[in-house]
Amino acid sequence: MSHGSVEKCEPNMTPMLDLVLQLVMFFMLCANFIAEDVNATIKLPTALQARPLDKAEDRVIFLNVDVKGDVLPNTRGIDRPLTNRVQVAGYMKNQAAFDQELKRRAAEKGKPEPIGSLVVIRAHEDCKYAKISDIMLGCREAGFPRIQFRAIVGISK
Amino acid sequence: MSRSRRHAVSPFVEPDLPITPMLDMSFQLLAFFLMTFNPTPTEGHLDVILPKQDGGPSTAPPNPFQNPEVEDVTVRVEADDKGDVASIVIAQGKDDSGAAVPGKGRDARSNLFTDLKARLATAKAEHAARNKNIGETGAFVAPKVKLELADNLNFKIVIAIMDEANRAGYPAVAPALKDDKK
Repeated sequence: MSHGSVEKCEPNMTPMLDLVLQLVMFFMLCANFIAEDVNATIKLPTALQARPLDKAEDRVIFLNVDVKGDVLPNTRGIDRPLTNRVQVAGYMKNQAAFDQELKRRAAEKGKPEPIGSLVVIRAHEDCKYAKISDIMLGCREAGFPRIQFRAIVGISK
Repeated sequence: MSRSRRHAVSPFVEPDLPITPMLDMSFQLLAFFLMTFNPTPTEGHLDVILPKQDGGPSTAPPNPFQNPEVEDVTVRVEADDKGDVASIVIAQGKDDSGAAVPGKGRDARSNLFTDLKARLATAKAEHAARNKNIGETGAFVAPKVKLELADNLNFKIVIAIMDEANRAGYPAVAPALKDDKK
């Protein structure tokens, strides 16, 4: 009366676990919690010729502009929307002080003078251009002539 | 003797790593990242050249290869009530009163692209002929495109026009309001 030996019947979980961990790793790397100082509520226009941001830029100031043309609050000193050119120029002058400090330190250390910060305007696609022009002129008044428009890479509507 | 016998009978314990909790946790993490996965669309930038300030320098980078015989192109854009293109007039040089680009909206933008491209091809041919005549080998540099825009134009239309100019081969585009003093 011999009974057959009882064998354990278990699925092999190891490859599955490997795969799951790889997927977890992928999504962890792709997760973008705090990327740049950008506002996801702004619907950007599209342009085919839009090029990626130059990684060599030392300092980039993002200005998020809503559909009304106001510069939205950010984590870099804008605590309420900036609604006109004077307010934009005032904010940008504060930023210019930081640039001046960087230049002073570079001069002290005998390093080449850093080029000024780049201003990237991320404006809503339905915003009127007069407001954008105002913001640009405010930046220029404060000493920021290097300006770029942000757009999603794609065919223009 | 007794010690060695005891050692010999000690049972072999197979190490068992419980992977079920690990798998549970991994699935939870996977579910979290799957739900929060929000791939951002690829963003890029378009360079802007600010219009010349009264008494101040232009923000355009100095170009040592500027072709003196090629004049800047001026594009005047009027807007309709919706902020789209109502009309486009294109001119080249100070004495040019300008020619209307046919169409409205997207058609006008498309025709602007064709016009700009044709102008650039002509300018390139003239530059090559001039170089041949005087025996120079200077490279051709596309002229600047100045946009004179209506203030109620939508930003996306401005970007589209800049995009058309860039695609046509003009890397330097200077958008400004038509009422600005340049």
